[in-house]
Amino acid sequence: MNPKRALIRSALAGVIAAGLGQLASAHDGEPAAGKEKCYGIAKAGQNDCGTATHACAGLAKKDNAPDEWKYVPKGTCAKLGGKLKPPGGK
Amino acid sequence: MSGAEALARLQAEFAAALVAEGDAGFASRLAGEPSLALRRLAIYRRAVEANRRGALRSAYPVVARLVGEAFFGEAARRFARDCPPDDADLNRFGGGFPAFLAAYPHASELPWLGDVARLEWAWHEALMAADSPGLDYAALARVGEAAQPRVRFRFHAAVRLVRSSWPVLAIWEANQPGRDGTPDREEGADDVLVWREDERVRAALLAPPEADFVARLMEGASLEEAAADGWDFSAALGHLAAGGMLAGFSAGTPAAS
Amino acid sequence: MPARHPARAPDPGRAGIGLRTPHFEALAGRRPALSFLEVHSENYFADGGPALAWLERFRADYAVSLHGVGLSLGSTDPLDRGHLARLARLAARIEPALVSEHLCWSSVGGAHLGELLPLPYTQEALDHVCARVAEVQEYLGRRILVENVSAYVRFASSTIPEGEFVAEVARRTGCGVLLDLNNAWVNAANHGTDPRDLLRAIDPASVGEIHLAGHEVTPDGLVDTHGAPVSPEVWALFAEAVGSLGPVPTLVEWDTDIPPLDVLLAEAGRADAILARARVPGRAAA
Repeated sequence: MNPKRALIRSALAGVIAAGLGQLASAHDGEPAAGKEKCYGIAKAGQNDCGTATHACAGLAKKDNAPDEWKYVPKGTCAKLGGKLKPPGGK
Repeated sequence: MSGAEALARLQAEFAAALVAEGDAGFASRLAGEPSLALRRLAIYRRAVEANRRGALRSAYPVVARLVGEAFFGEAARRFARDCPPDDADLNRFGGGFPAFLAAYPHASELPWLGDVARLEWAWHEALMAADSPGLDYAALARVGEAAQPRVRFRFHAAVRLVRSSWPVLAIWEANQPGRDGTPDREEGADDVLVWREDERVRAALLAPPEADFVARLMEGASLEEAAADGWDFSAALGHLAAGGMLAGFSAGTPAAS
Repeated sequence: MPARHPARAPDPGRAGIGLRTPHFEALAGRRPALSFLEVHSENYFADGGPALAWLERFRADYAVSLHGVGLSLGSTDPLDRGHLARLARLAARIEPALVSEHLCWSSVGGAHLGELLPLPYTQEALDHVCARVAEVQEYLGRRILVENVSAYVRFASSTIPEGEFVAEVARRTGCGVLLDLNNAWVNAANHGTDPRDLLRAIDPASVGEIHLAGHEVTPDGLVDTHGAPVSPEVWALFAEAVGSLGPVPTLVEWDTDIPPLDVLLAEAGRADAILARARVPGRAAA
């Protein structure tokens, strides 16, 4: 048997054993790199706005200054803008 | 359909008056004092815009935080104008926003913004994806050794792989509630696996060979086709299975559900 | 498959509240006595995920009302069969006590405006919307309730008073009426009419649910924001309505600037007190 086929056989055997509850550790399949991130809650459904007619609209809220929207964004971008390395550098 | 021609015409004119500013002509269709009627029509115009913007803000909270209200609001307005929702369910609105942002001239200084948005949409879709039955391990165990290399997996509907040249996961995490927006890393490239497990959406950074392997499996490649020579994919496959990401398999020659 | 709890029915003598994400944890932990919980159907259209899992949990303890916002009953676009199919799947899963939609339109030419837009009250619109309500009821295999909406504009072409229009839809299709008293008040105040006209026109037997909500007063008129306490005028209208209708399952809706659960429960409690006084002999405890 070639090495790849042997690997397939053993990898499937591991998956099957874990799946059938025959492996003690459920953590056999940790990701090879990086830790797992978990952000769990339900998001608020967006369709509530449909009945909350216009409350979502902020009613007579004034517009932003005319050009504010197009210049360098004001959010947390400032915390990383310009610091990120362009891709392809490695 | 019924012969509701006048109604159809009225609705088309109403919708046009809501998206365009030139609504004065529509006043003749409305009862009551014209200037007041037009101001009240504007309530609807603001609401339509705000509902769409709100839907996008909910799907893209990190992008919204990154660029701030004014910039996000204008980008959302333009996107919604060009690609209005084609579904009544506003939770489904915004799948085209990452591509829009990637090409948005005013965001050209932020070349990673579209990729951050892709990650957010993946997260959003994972939240709403259908449940899948678990993998039938007993059936998998019955696959003969000769057929094992031809095994192709079907993925749980929530699984997404987002591949980027930028440190999108670091940016995304830095903009979760409670964080100040400063990423832990300033370099990519990030290959992010997104899935749902125990009703929670999870994300993990994959090393390049694992990402290549998962990408090929998701495209429908068999195990033999997906596995790179000399790389042990056991842990990667184990991770997919343990996370409930594999929903089914076929062991025949062509990929089948 | 875990064992299913049988579907619950609302207590007409008590109020319910809208089930909104910020209250999931508190409601599940405290399980206050409520007639029912109402959700916007579309928020649970996914065939999986946390929102649906929460709703599955709540249906074990509460009667559920599915309140749609996207079916666009009055639109001249073809009825969206995909949308209807998703609603039917959700209804099969949740077994709601009530299913409702709005007497309005929200899409044109396939583009969805995400807003409840008013219909002209004409014979043509009446014929159209009745055909659509009938189609929906046939597809779902059940009676639905249709809600009178807030309308900031009125059309020059309208020939039928709103109350008669709503009543006629119910009469022709056999659907029920979801009587939204805040909408009735908002329309009356904005257009200088009497909110009781609507009450008088509708057959009391057709009223399957009442909605109460808050509005805001703006320079351009009252706006139905669902973001404030129920106004004194709407409470008065409610007392009057249930005085003649008897107890009806009643919902306190609050969709924006959502307050702590206790504020919402206090509003529901206030509705309970009014419903209790409406228990006239012979009509009580349906």
